Amino acid sequence: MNKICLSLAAAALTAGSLLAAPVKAQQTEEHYAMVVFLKGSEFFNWAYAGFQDAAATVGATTELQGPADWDASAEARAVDQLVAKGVKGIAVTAGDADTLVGSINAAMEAGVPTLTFDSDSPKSNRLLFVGTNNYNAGFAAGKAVGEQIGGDARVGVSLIPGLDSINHRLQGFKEGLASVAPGAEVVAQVNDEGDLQKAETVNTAMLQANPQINVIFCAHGNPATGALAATRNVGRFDGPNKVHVLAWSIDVPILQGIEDDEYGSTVAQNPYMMGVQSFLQLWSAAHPTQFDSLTNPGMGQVPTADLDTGVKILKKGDPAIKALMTPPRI
Amino acid sequence: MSINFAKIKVSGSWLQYIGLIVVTVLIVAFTHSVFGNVVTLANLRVLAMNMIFEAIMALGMTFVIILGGIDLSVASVFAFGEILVAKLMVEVGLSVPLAAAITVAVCALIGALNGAMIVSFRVHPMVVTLGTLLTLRGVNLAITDGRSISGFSDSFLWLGQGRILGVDFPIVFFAVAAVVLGMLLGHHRFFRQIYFIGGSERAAKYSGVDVARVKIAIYALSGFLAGCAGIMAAAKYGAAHWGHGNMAELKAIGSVAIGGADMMGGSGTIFGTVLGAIFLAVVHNAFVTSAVNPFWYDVVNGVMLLIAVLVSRVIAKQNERKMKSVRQQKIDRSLQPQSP
Amino acid sequence: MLQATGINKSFFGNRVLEDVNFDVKAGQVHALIGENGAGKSTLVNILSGNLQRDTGKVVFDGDTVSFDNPLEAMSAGISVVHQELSIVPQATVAENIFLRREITNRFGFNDWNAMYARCQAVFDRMQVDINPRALAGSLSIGMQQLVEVAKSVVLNAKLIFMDEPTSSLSEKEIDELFQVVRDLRDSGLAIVFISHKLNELFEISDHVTVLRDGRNVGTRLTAEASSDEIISLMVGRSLSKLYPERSASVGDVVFSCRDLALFGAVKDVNFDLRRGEILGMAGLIGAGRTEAMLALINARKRASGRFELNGKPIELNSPHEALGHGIVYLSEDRKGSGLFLDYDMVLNVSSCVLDREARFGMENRKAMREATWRYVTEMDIRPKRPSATILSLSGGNQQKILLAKSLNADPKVLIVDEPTRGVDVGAKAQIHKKLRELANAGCSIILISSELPEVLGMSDRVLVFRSGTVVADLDNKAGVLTQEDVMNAAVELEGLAV
Repeated sequence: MNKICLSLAAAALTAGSLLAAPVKAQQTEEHYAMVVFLKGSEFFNWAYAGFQDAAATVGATTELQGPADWDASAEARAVDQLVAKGVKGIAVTAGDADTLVGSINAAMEAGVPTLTFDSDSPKSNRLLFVGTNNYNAGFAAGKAVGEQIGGDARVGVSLIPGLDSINHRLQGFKEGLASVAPGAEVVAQVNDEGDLQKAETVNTAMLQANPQINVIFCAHGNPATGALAATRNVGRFDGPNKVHVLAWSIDVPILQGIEDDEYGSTVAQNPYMMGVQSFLQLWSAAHPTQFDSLTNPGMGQVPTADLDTGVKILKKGDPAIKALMTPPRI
Repeated sequence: MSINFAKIKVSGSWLQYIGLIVVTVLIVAFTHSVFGNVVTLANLRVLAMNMIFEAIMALGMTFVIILGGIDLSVASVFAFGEILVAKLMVEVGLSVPLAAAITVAVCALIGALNGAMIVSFRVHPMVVTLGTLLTLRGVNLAITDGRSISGFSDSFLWLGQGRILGVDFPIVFFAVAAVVLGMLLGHHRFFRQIYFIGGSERAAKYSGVDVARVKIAIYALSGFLAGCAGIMAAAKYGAAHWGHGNMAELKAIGSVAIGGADMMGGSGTIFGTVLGAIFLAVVHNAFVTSAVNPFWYDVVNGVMLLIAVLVSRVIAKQNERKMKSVRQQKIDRSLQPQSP
Repeated sequence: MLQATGINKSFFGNRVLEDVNFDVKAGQVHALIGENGAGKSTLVNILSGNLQRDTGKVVFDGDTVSFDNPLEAMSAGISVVHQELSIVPQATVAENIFLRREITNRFGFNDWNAMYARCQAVFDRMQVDINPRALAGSLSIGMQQLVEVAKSVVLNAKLIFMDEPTSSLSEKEIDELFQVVRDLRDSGLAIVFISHKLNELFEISDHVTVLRDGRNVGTRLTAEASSDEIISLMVGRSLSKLYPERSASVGDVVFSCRDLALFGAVKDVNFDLRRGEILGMAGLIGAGRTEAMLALINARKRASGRFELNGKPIELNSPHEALGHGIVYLSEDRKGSGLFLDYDMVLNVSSCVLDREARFGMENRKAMREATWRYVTEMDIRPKRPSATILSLSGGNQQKILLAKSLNADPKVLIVDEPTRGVDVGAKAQIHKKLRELANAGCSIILISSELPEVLGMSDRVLVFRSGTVVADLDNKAGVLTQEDVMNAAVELEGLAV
């Protein structure tokens, strides 16, 4: 009998001590939460670091919730719990746009300012979306290529057809390219299905069929490594005929590849800024001033349009590369 | 003597239930007194809804585990149920009752298929249901292209969001299912058979139990409940998505194990499973409330599972020791010099 | 009551039953006997619906019958008490008895009170004292066996097959069981009793049928048959002598054990063992013989114990350490803790001595095979194929492999626990012969057996256990010790101790 009591006591203690750790004066401070999917991934770690740092500047505290996988329903439940707990504001990135509609609307109804970042849930009543505008990002990428290569640029694009986000990027890219280098053109598109090996195959074929291509634009995060392998396959990995591979990622291997002259450049989104801006908008919404928000009475002023956090096109030697290669502290 | 041993064994499992209740209440009391906002209607509702679908699957899992099996496929059956009911309504245009009926029937059929494969291939249930889990997850992804389905009618949404006397429908469903299944498991002749199969399959067979039929029926029950949970989840979130309910099978199994069932089969109760599910829900809630890095949540779940196993072992050991000391007394007595 | 004529059955082309005729009359106990593999179990399985016959005819209670499954046979009134108990320990006694026969309301819910009451009534009729509400697992094996019988009674069975029901019962429990069997017989049931133990057959049966190699080689009125006749029917020849000749010389004390105790099972066990001696250990089931030996090699953690080998004190902290001193224990549970059923003979025979046979840490298959081949020829293990898996062997041959395994470790002290349980007469004699040869070669043997004739026939000295300790040390060099001598010691204290 004693033993059972002992082990039960041990259980209670274990649970207790784990819970007791962050007791420090929480009631008095304002508390905000970020909800993500794929929790623990580098991208969202950057975002949360920004969220946390921005909160620290005004003495607020934060927490990170959400599943370590793609389960958007777990995100919805996390939002519900945070509302019940009484946080001041929630920034959520939607693992699935539709799944989160109910929870976001419920949070807004309960008077908890809630916004989406990075991945939107457009049908919900969220305050606003904070993240990369795909057209603008594509435009910046196209402009950078035009400025660097000029009118001789012949571009092949590796993409997944049919996705709105990628279509917007491609449209922006073309217009950006044309804005500085009217002679440049996009000569081919291939479907990499979001798969590395597939990307290598189709890009190799594209380079063989269109030897004039001197730039590969990767319109999403996955195919860059495959595209680079394709240039190696056709003997245009280096030397005077080197193909300029433009990636869309801030993964450390890609950044390293830019420093090593493998990739030409990469489109860097700014998750850290997404975090910072998400917090500032929530803070603003949670602190009404003389005039309430027009769209959400009872809350403070926030933009009613989406907030574009912009991108930077990183080339070799950019000091930002070094910064991005050092993971943030959370 | 024999009656005594029986009593010790029974009180042993009750001790485990009481221990579980005490720990659960302690955690609630602790988090409420330190952080507040725990014993509020809003939070209790969220707390319950947070685990409700896993808890419904855990009811079916209880039967499967008593049977001496395991059903890893529930999570993907759950997501499949979501997707199927959504497709039937949104794409085929069936009415809510018809779509729901077809969905639970198909999910029960998938469960029955699990059972049939386990029975006919004589493969460990873990392997068969893992295969179903992966296959069905692939199917879920393929038939939706990884996208979610939404745009349901209000009458359907009621299944996940509606309330009866202020209580969410899924919670009511769970409560009713727990009571009915608990009664069946405790007293119905068909369901009593699963204790025999789990305790000794050969013995059950010799006694004329149709082991294959019972197994298939129980796996079908597990699939049926996962399908019901899936339908309600689609209604709750207003969308069906392949990623929903990922790893739910582990929480369901965890609830059953923490509730004191022997993973080797032959023992376990619905009451224990309900306690186990409540415990997991409370611990999860405590993590959100206290804002501890939620990665620790898995650690606590794991540790609790180990403690639950440990407690059952300790109870079994104690029973054994009691029996031994009775015998030791007998030996001691017989060794004493005899007096007339 | 039951007439089976011309039953044939083959498995994968192997004829296991050939034109078997078998009649059972109501109100009688009919013994069925035969070596392992003679076809007894197959016959029972066919008559009780577990297996289908190839050809032949079965008339039961006046109707020609053919059962597709055990349930049909049960409904007709035929039930089986299996050798391996089909009791589920986690359920109550009543639930075990009423499985598939539950008394329920019209929704299928169990009526517990009615089941308990009915169960109590059956126990009263059988005159046994068992609580229907107790968990079956809390009962002794003997009680569980009676629960099995009660199951048949509840089913209103007219014919009960009992497959070696006494194999793990103590003498007292056997007496209880026999009393129940006689009562049932007197109330008009027919009982088919399968056993290896001749003395039991003579005690309980009215008729005896001997099966050999799938044929019925003879049915006799038990009262008119002699054990020699039965044995010669079973083996097809007369066994000249049941037990091998004792050796002339027993040497000095080789091994001694003092103050051996195991909490809750064994206390104050002391004995000496001499060179070339076979020391029998007799006693009722649960008297602590096996437990004492397990404690001796510390396979179960003992409370106390001191040991001397050849006059020098030794430590025995684990079975491995015991092995190092040449003390080898042969488990009574050959399937559970004795043999690796899925492995071949070679691996099993070598499993004790993998270290020794290894070269540079690699298995030395050649040496292992040679050793195995030696035992296979010496002990006539069949099939003569060392690569055969244990699972494919008959019980007797499995037991021989188990013995070979321990011999391979060169034992100085060999402890054999129930070496002939579930083994047919021929293999039994071979095992007995081998044990005696070992003793003559200077090995000291401790023999635990629940069959008193075996203990008496083999041992030079007999230790009698009772309630976890040694209550008598009886000399048997002359081989004149009787069963009564031993049983008196084993149960002597009964009246006083309680």
